[in-house]
Amino acid sequence: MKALATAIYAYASTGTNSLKTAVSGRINFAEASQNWSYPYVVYSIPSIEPDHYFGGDRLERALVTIDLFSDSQDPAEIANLTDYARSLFDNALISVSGYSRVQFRWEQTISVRMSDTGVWRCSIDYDVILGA
Amino acid sequence: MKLDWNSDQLLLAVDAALDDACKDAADDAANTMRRLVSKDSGELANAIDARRSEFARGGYVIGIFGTPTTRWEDSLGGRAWFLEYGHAFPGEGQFSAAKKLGVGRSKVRRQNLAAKSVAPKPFMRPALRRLRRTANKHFTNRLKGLAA
Repeated sequence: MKALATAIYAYASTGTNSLKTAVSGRINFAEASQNWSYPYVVYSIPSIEPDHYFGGDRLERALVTIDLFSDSQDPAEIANLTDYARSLFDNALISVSGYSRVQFRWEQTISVRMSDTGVWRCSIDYDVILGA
Repeated sequence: MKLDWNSDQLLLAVDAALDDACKDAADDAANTMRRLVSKDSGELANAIDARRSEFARGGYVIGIFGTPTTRWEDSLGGRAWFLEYGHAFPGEGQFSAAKKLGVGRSKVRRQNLAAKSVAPKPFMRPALRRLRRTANKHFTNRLKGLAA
């Protein structure tokens, strides 16, 4: 898990991409920093399980969730963040230590808005297949 | 059951077998969700069900079935969502609670003062991912039953 989490952080946070620019680099694993302002990105790896194929190939399949947070009254901000995240991670070619084959497959996107605070949260799930 | 290779009868039999297989798979996924979900009162586990739906592909939908509420966060489905994805918006964790109350974080944890902060405990997505590996078994079992 550590190798995948580290690789995702390096991929999203180094260099230049639209998502990183939109959130001013506020991207973290598992939880947001205490003093962050909106918008920001938190990604997590809720589960990893083995998968077996004919011929003895043993793969690992990870569920990776990219959470986007925005407090803007205009839903355009969360919509843009979602598009940036999708273009960054869909079928991404990410190098993960210990694995030669890595595939990011988009599974679903769910958006909710909290009634009391008006904060938007968009959760994008990826099925990540890791092969040695 | 003996098939006479009349095409109508064959197709109807296959259609019925596929429908039964979808139901088996949906029930399997619902059972997995009930097993994985956090249980305090059991209210959430009791609300999980697999029901027939003409709008769902496969004919069955697996979900949390509860009564509607004014705010989605207060419904059983909303609470299930918080368990699945977690609920830790800024201002609701133990750091923020401690700062607001002027107490130490250990007191916040002991007295559960940061009740709005919920770590994710996925139960829906693992059940559906497991179904991806086991669905073939249900279809195989039902289609095998067609042989005379």
